Amino acid sequence: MSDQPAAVRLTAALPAAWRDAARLEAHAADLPAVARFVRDRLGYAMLTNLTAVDDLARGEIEVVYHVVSPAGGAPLAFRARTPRAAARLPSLVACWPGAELQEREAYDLFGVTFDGHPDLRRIYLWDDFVGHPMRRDFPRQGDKYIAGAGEE
Amino acid sequence: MSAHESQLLQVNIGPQHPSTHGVFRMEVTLDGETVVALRPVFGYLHRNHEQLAEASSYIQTMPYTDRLDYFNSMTSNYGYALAVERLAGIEVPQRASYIRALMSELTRILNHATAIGFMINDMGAWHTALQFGMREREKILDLFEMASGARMMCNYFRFGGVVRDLPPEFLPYFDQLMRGLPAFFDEFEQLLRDNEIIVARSSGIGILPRDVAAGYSVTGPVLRGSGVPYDIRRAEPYGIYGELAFDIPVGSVGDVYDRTLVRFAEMRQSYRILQQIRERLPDTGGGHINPALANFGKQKALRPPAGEAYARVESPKGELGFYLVSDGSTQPYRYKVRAPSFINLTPLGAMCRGHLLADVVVILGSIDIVMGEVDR
Amino acid sequence: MNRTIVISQILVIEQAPGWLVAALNHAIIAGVLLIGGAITMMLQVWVERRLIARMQDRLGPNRVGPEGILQSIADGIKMFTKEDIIPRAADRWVHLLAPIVALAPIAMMLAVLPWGRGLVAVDLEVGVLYIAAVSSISGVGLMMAGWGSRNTFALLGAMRSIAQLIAYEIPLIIALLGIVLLTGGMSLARMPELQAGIPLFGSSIPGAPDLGLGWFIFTPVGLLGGIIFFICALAEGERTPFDIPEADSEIVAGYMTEYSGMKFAVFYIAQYLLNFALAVLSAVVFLGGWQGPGVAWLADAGLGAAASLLSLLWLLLKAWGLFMLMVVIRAAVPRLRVDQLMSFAWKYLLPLALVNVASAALWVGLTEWSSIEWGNLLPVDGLAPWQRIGVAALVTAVINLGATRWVLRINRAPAAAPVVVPA
Repeated sequence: MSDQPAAVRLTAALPAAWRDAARLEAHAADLPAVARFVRDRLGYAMLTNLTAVDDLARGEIEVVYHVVSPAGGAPLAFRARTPRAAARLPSLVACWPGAELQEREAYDLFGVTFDGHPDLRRIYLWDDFVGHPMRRDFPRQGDKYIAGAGEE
Repeated sequence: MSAHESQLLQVNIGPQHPSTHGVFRMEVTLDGETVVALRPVFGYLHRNHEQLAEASSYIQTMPYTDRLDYFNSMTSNYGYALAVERLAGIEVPQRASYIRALMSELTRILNHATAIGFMINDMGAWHTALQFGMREREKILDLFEMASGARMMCNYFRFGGVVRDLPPEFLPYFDQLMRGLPAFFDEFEQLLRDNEIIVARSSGIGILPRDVAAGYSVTGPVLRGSGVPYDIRRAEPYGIYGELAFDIPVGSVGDVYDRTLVRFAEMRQSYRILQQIRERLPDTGGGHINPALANFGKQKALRPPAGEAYARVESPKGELGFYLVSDGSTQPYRYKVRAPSFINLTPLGAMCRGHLLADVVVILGSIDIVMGEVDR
Repeated sequence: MNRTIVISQILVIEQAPGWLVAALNHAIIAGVLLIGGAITMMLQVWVERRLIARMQDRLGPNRVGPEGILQSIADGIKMFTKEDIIPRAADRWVHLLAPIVALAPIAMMLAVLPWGRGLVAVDLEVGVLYIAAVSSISGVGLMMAGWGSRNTFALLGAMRSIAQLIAYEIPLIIALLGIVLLTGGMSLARMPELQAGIPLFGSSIPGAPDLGLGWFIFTPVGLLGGIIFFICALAEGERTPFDIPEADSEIVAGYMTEYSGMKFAVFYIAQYLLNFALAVLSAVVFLGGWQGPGVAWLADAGLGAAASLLSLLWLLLKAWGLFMLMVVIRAAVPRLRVDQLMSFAWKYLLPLALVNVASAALWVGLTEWSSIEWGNLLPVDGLAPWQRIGVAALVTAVINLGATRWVLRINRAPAAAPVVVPA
């Protein structure tokens, strides 16, 4: 991203944490350490955006974290990847409470399990829903659920 | 209370409730009237907006962003247009940027006027404050109708500019509105700021302290009400905001009253910005849209290069961000909306704990949510 | 003072047995009051909707009948045709009885109110006591509604209404007590009769014309009592800013949440009727009731019927004026919170009401006791009645003003209006 000095400091301070330092892609296990460094040392106190991206070609789900500093400036984006089959990442709620609802959203729509999340439940879809609709290979189902309505 | 054995009461506020601003549900556990725990429940308006966008071409999503925050369709348009322009490297002419900022600030005034009105409604005032706000909103919607043809679902922005230039009758009506606005601000502010019951109901309620506000990722008037002077128009200026003079009002305590005062002050700041835009608008050049994209077919056939972009605007409710990943085709590979209404609800449970049931709706009202954006 | 005799004379049924006459009389009067009450309620709804609309830059109902005056009838027909829903988990009988229990005592209140000169259905010697007793019964109806509905919102609303009614009944009755001391009796029918004459001095100045303006509101005791009473009446009638039991933005409709159709309409009628009865009561006790310029003059001229008609007009004017004041307040302010409501009752109204009773006692002492009763401490015998009233007014005004200032000062919350600083 444009905020080069922060990215440089980040890669220099935690050299072992990166799977792809050019894209600021961290190893899943090192994510909490990266987050703490970003928050405490670089001053990015706000996790403004958390996005899951389903990379079907590589069979992975990438979670992008956009963090900003209350002092201003462009956001810093760092990311982590996890295999689609067993999507699992450490939760950052302990570091940024603002991640709570966003991690639930990623869990609901992409099926990424965030370890350490205090209340990881589906957020938009109902609890018996099967599948994670934002994954690129989620089948188009039409009005499957509406056709079955009418009981109760 | 402690001497007696008390039983907790589980109350579902919503999804059908007069003051949840749509189909929102809060599972509240009450001890008497005191809130012990509150869990927000989302999803009643979920329509997988993001997936729809990923199955559409870029410009097809533009009218659909209107439906995110249906009160502020102009700023929703702005955020999306900005993200696509960043992704595809599109230049925006100066005049288009001015028109965009004009529409954004008008949107801010209408949103804050009605948001305050709705909050006072939640306090139990019988729609009077809301009607005051609605009266001004109607005039601003008239302007939107002149420019875009629609009052609420404006669909006015295009990649590289806006869909058409301001019509000739726009500016006279705009000037007339601007002449009336200061009186409206004074009247509205005096009516509500000096009302003893409103002050008693809102001060000391739903405090979000300054040191935790940023951690909760809240933005907009909620964050500024807590005393953090964070405004994307200043933090990461987009469009012409870097050239405009305005202050960022902040609160001191972070309670409901502070958020309301911040909204009042922001309306006045928006008025200030509008004055500056009005002054410079006749001298702006470049047309209302980038000539390379002036034809709708070109908008439709837009194929941004593979890559990603995150763009955010200061919507009246907070930071409205769009994250786009392109694979080089006419459809976005990933389209994500960072909805301020949704993320501002993160600290709702913490803010309501220990308050009375009557305060819950007021705190919710002070966050100012729109369900179209929360559930997407 | 059996006013019903008048009616039996109109009917000319002298041969009928006495009990039948009495029964017919009461039935007719009850019918008149109830039909009048229903019509009043419809008018109230229309007035409220139109007036609030005016305050909010709207028109309000203006389609059904001239200026929309028949809107309430259309609403009533709609209510009749609506399905009567009883929740499966509700207690059927309690659910059914609750609106009736809420309405009946309010209708009973109408009986003892003096509507005009010589127009009172039942002249009870203990009218004030009767009103206080009867009006608190409707709280039972509200609690039944909340409990019988098996709905958490309804239960919360019922709890709130009981707490509120109990808290506000006390200052309400104590405010009335001051006037009871002044009049020396609990009869509501006698109260307007004692408010003849000119402001403050009443009929104490010989030769002064009887303007019918000797209202208690013009005395310091009556003023403070009247303000307390009106505030409490807002709370008793569940009007904004005290509409907490049915706070629509918080607990949907409170105890009425699970009611539909006619049962809901009965609650609705009960509420508006209670508001009107309280407005009439305020007018009778503090605003001279049916007294007004011209009534005494007509009566002296031998036009008793015209005087009664004019007096009825005066009373209705005052009652509607008070009701419209309630409407304006509703459109202007939000509602208080439960704890603020309670602290307002116990910390502001109750002490002031108690001080007011003391003032009233002092007033009676200064105006009516002889020097001997004062233990020869005060030489009051030499003064003319109007002079004594002047002294009493001065003394009680000082006491009430001082007490009000004191209560307001000790209860003032620490001013904590945060300041917005531009960054």
